[in-house]
Amino acid sequence: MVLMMGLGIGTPILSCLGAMGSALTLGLKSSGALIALLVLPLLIPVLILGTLAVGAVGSNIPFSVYLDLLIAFAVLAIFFGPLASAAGLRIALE
Amino acid sequence: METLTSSNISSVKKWNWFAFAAPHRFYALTQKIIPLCWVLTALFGIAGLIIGLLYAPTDATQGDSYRIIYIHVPSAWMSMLLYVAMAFWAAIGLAFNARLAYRLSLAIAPTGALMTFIALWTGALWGKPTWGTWWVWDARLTTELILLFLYIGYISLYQAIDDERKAAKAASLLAIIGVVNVPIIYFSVKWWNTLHQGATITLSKAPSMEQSMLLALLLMTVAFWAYAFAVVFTRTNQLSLIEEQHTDWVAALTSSHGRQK
Repeated sequence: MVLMMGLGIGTPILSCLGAMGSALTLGLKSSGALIALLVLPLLIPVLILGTLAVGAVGSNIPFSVYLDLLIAFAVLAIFFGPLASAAGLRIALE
Repeated sequence: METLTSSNISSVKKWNWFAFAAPHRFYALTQKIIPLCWVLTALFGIAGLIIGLLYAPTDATQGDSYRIIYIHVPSAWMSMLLYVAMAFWAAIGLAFNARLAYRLSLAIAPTGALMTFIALWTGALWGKPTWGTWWVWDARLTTELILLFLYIGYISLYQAIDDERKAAKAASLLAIIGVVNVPIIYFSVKWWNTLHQGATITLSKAPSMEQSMLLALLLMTVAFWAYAFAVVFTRTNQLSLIEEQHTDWVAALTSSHGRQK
């Protein structure tokens, strides 16, 4: 249940960050390795929060705080992510 | 070179915030500041190390191993501060399309990465005797490692794009996105209960450490600041010289040095 909630909140964040990464590396020859380097540092906090929430359920401690933080991340990512991706695309296409 | 310098500075009659956005004026100004920064680095660094290593008392619980704090803490501060400075100049560059702002931001990146690396490395060396381990996946250590990746990502994104202006813009955007990580690092010891101790020195209350320790730490911090200024200005000027090698002011500079091609 918590796992599904975590995945549900986390997936849009990952998509937004991935979109920013691919917008920034658009049209580059070796974009594969670079995109991993750019996006990975931003993905790690999301993954940590998700695993902490699931871990908290396993050890019977309150888990909602991690999901709250994840929601906060999601709000930020969904608001700023498309803006940043658009800016990245504009730079790549000019 | 001296005549060029003085005429340029005296021509700025009214104080203009954008006066030093012109690479040649910035060059003239910083060439005077850089030696001063090196002197400050040496003086404050030596003073800080002497007080820190010889005069500051031994820590009650950690023994002498705590003395690496005089490298660890200033470099950790600088790593976060330089990232914010880098993102700031990146934002200025994007907002005003200013070449010099991009160059400053690019010049800060390697120094910031170096500071992050030093902070991680000395942290590992300090962790071994006090925590019994080189590395733990603790909130602060992990976020600091992420900061290192952000610096490396910024540099490699710039290097990967051939067109210089495009590269500067894309890398600047990445720097601004990554700035969300800095407050997370700074507050990580407060938000999560972790192995890494909380901040001893804050702006809001009196620091809970011995006077001479604090003095040495502050001296070392000033030394790190001066070092960062010297290196960043030097690197910025090198970028200016390379990118503007066909302009008049660079030609005037090289001929006055007697090294004209």
